[in-house]
Amino acid sequence: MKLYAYCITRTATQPPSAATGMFDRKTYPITAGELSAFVSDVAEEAIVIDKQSVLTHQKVVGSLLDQTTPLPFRFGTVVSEAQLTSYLESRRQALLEKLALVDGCVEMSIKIIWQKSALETRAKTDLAESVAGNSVGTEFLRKKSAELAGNQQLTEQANDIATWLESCLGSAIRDIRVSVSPSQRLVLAADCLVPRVGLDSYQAAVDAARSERPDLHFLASGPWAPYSFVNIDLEFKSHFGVS
Amino acid sequence: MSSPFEQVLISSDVEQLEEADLSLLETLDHVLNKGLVIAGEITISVADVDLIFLGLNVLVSSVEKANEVVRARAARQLEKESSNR
Repeated sequence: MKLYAYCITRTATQPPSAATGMFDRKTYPITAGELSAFVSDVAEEAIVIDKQSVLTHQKVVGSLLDQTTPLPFRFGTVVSEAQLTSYLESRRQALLEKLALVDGCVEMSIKIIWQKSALETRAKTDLAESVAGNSVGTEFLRKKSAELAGNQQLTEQANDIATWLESCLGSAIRDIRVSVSPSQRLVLAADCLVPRVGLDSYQAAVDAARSERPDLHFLASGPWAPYSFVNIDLEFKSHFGVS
Repeated sequence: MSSPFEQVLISSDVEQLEEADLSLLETLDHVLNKGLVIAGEITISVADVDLIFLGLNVLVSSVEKANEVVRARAARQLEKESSNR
């Protein structure tokens, strides 16, 4: 029998109020000293991604978040009890440090998206710069050059927005992970570690940022378990067996 | 696996998504992309090799398929516009 792992907490944590996990199986803790991992039994070797299973994972982690700040596992973590116990014992110190780091906090996320008009303006500018009568080769190179210049400009703008956002949030957050990716629409994704007692200040800072930049579209969500703050170095060798 | 947001933004207007859709997208973004990893112990399978639709046509895989959706949508839009003229 394999175990589906949801998250790690300190041992004293009570079982989640959402007691059933994947496939309606009961969730329970596997304990190794000061650490407990909440799991449920699974017969399957691979977990199918569907809406129900993703929401079930989040429901179990979320119900533990109501009473403490757990270290959540990524979706699809299926292990034997021996593997899990070995993991808890061998990573004991690092896991306790992570728990101390996120203690009393939750993760709040912000995604910033360009408003449509900004992209349309850029497209119109590109079009206006097009010179009639160019050869196919010249036109190709010109478009390529414009594309590269446009991408660089977008990246610079996105970096400026990231710096501005961090300054807006200031002391309302304990830590932040920002991923700047000026794709077609997304400017950046920011995940903030926010003290539970400071959620009102955080919300006020986000509201103020929204008001300051009406040209940007904000998507704010949370509270989440600290998914973005738990990875331990050298443990990214995950294997995605997609079948 | 890239962020579901990255994928859905290719083919959708965020403004047109319902709050429940965004909530699911955010859940996917956190649960599938982040969190503790025990080396070698994540094994997931998908219902379709290239593409996963999770209720609201959220693409979490395959840019190729996403591009097909975009092209099909653009073609439908053109047809609609020409029939309105």
